[in-house]
Amino acid sequence: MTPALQVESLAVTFASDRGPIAAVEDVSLRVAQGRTLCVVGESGSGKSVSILATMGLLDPRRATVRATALRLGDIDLLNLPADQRRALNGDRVAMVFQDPMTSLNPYLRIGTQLTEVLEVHRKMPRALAATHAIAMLHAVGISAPTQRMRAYPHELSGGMRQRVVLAMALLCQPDVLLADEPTTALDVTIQAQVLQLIRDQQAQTGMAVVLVTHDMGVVAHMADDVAVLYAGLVVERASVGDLFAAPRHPYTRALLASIPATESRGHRLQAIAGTPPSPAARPPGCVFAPRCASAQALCLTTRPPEETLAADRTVRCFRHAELAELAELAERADG
Amino acid sequence: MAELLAQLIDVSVHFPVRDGLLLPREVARVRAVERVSLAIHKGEALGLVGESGSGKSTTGRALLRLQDVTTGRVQFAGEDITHWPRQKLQAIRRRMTVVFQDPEASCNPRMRIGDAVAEPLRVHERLTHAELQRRVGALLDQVGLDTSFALRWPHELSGGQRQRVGIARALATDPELIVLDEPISALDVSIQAQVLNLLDDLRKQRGLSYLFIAHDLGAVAHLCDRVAVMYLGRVVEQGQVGDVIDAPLHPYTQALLRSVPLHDPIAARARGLQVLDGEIPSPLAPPSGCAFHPRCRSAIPQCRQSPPELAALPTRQVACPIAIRAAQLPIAS
Repeated sequence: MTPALQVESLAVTFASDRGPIAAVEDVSLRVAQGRTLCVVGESGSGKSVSILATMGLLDPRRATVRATALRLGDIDLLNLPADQRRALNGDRVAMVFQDPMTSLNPYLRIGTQLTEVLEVHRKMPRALAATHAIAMLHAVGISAPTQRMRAYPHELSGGMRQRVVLAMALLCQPDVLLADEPTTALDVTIQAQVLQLIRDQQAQTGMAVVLVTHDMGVVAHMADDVAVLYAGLVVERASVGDLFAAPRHPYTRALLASIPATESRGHRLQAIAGTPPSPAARPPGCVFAPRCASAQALCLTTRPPEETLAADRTVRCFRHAELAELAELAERADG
Repeated sequence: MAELLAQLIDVSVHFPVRDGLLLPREVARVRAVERVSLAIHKGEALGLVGESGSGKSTTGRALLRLQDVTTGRVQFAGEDITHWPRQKLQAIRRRMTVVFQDPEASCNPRMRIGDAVAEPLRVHERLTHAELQRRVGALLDQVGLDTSFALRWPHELSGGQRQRVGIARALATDPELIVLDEPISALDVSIQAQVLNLLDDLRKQRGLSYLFIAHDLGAVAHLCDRVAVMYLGRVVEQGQVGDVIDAPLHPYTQALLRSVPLHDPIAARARGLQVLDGEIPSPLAPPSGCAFHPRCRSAIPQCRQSPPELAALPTRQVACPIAIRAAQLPIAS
């Protein structure tokens, strides 16, 4: 099946006073219709930049974007004129950011901002657009939607604003929803509401969802597939079940062991030493080697290639096979 | 039980909302904290959890006397400090310190790390230059930073390193109590564990007491002995961390725990995320009776009438008569 969104070997370089900075080195993402891909990574891993590059939202004067393929369903985004590509944004592909105020104009009533989407993309008359907008506000769980249409963004709570942004993103029934940390700024009870909403909408429309997050709990609840980013590279890609049951990259394994979860209290957390490298000073070998407890001489000098273990399962680690055996032995000894 | 160190007794903090140009009068009142009692013993870590607007930070500030209380009493080391004037408070300031969420807030961008850590020592102690340097070096070492960091500037440090500086500063005067206000929320996941482990080690080494304010129940579960759950200015449940997390009694605690994502995809899908309807109400116009009743699935008409008292069960305090009745029923086997 053709993926709803396909990104192959994406690389993004920013110009800076101190020379070019490779924010994203090699990122490939595929997500099929009706499925959810979670992109996991810390600050500086290149997860947001990858999403912005996919949307074509980076300033071409500052950022150089290369990819071997960039496709939205059957549409080749790489060879599409800029204006046609822009017309797809908000229509076939929509985006939600962490801070809802990134997407909302503080001076306009939310009704104006919602109906505008349909007026522009669907050439819909305003009154009809308003009917659709009210229905969508209702669908995302906003009470008294007709009255809320007249509200300004500042009159709404953070959770409400994120719902409005989600409503705006969903108005045109996009094929792909790109959500960059959409619930990070929200309280857990509101996070649960917004995540459930994304799920419900996906079940109804069959849209593909790319969810960028740093929270492995959100991944466990939402993902079908996961891509783990570290320092501009996808270091591991797997189905959500495989990733949690048998992580193959030392970074993934360390990340899972370092989470303070309520389920694992009483155990000392296995902290990962050191800090992620800055995009301006990435190590020459494996990007994780300086923090990796299993790194050997080769890892410090040579960048490991992406190795395919099974369909949609890849890892970038010289020692993954050996380490997997060791992990299995240790588990057997424990059990 | 260990000796009592700090305590809030029936503390309320209200912020008046005033209007009127010439004769401003109070038109409303934000009830940020309402009749909260908390006790922290020596060497104990008490977690204080709640969502934005629950009053948890204001409670922490009241305990430190950084915020005047409207009613109630604040005690520290056996003394009632509720009405101590500033000058008198200065003497105990060194014994109770604070670490904030945003590590940038505790670092002056124009002050070298060494000077930032030395500042509380300069205020509270008279030391020679050499002695000051030695103490700063020892403090940096204790939070896992090389002494060479003393000469660096805040902007050269990562978020995790800056938070370590914040902790070093809080430790400088050898305090007994540290209020930790969301100290790991702004950090990357792989750094959060480092800082949590550091806080845990420091507590054990130095016999520190913590009030750990957080919205992250996982972090609380790892660091704290007891936990108090706040909702709209009130403590709704309090008990041992293990008891509260494994068997929450208050409907809000139950909902809160079920909103926290699990870290296992199979369990996560089996349980799902409980969706609690609505949002935390405005503290300007709290609902009548139990503040949680508009969102509570177990609510009965009685819940709308008067706010439930925080009642003591043998090992727990719960502000919900329905939950208490259910908990006291013998468990059918």
